[in-house]
Amino acid sequence: MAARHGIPGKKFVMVIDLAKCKNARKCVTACQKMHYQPEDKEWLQVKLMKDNEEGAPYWFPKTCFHCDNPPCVKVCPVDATFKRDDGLVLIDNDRCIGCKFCMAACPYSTRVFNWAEPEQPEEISMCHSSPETSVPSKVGTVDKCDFCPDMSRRGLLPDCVTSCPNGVFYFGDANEDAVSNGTETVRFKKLLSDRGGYRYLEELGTEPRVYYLPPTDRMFPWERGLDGLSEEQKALYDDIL
Amino acid sequence: MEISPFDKLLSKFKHPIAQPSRSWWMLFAIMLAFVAIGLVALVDQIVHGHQVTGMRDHVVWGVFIVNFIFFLGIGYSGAIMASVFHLTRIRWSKPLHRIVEQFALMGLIVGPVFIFLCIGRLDRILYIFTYARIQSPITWDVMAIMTNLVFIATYLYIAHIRDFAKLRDTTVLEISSWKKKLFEKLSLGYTGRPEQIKALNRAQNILAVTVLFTAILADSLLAWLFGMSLRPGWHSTLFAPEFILVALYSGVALLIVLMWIYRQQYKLNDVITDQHFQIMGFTLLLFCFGFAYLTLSECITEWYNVSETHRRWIGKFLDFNEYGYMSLATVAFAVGFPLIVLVIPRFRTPGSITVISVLILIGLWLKRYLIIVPTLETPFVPMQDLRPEYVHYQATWVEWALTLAGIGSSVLILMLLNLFAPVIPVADLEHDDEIVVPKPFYETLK
Ligand code: SF4
Repeated sequence: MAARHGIPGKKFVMVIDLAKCKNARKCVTACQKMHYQPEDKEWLQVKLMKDNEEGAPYWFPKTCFHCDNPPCVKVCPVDATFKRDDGLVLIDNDRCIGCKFCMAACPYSTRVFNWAEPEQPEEISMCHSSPETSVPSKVGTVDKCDFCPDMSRRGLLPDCVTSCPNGVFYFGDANEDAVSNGTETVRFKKLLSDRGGYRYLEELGTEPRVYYLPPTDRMFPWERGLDGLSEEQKALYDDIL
Repeated sequence: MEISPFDKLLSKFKHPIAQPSRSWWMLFAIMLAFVAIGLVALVDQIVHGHQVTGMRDHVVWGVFIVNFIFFLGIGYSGAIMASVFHLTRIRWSKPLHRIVEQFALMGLIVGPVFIFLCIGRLDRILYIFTYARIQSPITWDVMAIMTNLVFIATYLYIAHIRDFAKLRDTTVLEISSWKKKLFEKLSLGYTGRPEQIKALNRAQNILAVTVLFTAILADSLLAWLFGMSLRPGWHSTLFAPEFILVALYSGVALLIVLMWIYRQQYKLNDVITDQHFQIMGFTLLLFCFGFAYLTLSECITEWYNVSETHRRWIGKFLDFNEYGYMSLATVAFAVGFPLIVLVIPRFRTPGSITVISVLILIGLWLKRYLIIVPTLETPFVPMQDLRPEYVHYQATWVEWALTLAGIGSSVLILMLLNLFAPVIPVADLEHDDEIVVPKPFYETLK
């Protein structure tokens, strides 16, 4: 099955520029729309982070990291979640038995479980599922960010990338050494070396395929991300601040 | 005709072997009701999905996994004790053999049921075999549990053969004819001929050694299921020995509780003696020290010098808004109270040792809860979730009802086993009495 082997010759990577994120959350809603997910199911999340007492807070969009040494794939008892040659970690939700071991194993809390019959349009829930579209969701199985390989097959960028008004996400192919955020295409390695790219929790040894550019020379003050949030939502960040 | 003391002993098991008493039926009905309540909860869970439980995206496992570890611990410890008792030929332990063998089987049947309850797609359960992947610790665990179950069931059966023969031949109990026929089949024609004794002994030796190793390995595998993850609190090299020690500790406690119950029920004061309680009480004390030592060792290294996530995790055990009270209860039940009762001779009566054992069982269940839930509530990435049920785990009635059903079915399994054989291996005692000094196992290896 092609969905299990990947797109030949590709090695997908993502670079997330923390200097440009202001918690606009357009990526979150675009992802939900594309995958027919309800509002409270976030395959892509934006967290507020602060690394130390004196450090400045910053917004931190988090996708699946599609690790090269994926703890979730190691533990899956039935090969429902697997690593492809093009670097992607995908889920076959016709295979998944819903043991949730991968969720317990993932150090990035990336995975989302369908605790009940998922709410999605009937014509969607009727269609044939594929690990490449991650649609439809199925009760009792796991979902997560899939880097939208169905879009890549059509030569398009994932929706989170194109929907971001600030060009935070760069998506591309490490073999071609090129990543694009929809408006500019840049050299992947040069971008990392110019901007000091790093991977989140490198010390865990999971080898993520997602790189972060540190929040230096910011486009927005981080407080802008609080605009429009309710008091309740703001209270979530009390621990961090 | 004078009846032998062993026949006299056997006749104490008239109820339930010959005829279950009314109280037996009553208890049976109550336990069935427990299981029925669990079934209602199970139907609810199957119809509405796992959302009816308290499990959510962060705490993906809850009370079910706690019960899974608890019951498997009981099973493995029963298996380990049964083989140690057998292989070391400790004579005083003879009357306790069947009790540990029975709860070994019980734990290994009830434990795995709880893992099934955690599975979102029970309809695909066979994929575990058809698409098995050997890299997954779940696959190891499935194999380990099944192997142990087979071994323990076989061991239990072999350990019963002598009693089946005795029940087949006995005249002191009025056993219904279908049961007599069953005993005749099950006793495989055992009459105590020398070659039969030898064969039985050899089979039991081989199985006991196998059971000992596989049970230790299987409980370690269970620990590694968690130990091999990257999570703070789980990624610990101490986990396998800790799991085994905690399992044995709970096994000894359960043994004492059952000793007390059976002693009352069948009036076995001269078979399960006060001395037995004293010895098992000391064993308890040993494990209590071991448990305290491991807990201290774990806490002090985690607390002294650790990463930020570990500090957040360990802090929850000291915070009374989080798991402070539960940690305190665990230490009180599994260390504090047992020390007071077991160290001071005046307090060391069968009754108080039994009460302490019940507390220990509760304490060790809580210990498993503290292993599972706080770790899952402490992810690396901040949760920042508006839905309180996603941040804090709280078990629902479904989980408690199924826990109750677990207890009910455990009791049912023991009750059913007791229908077919006395809880004291009467024929083994008689046999021992004849040969006086049993041969140690290493001599049979020659
Ligand atoms: S929940 Fe599904 S994908 Fe995850 S480990 Fe279990 S079977 Fe594999």
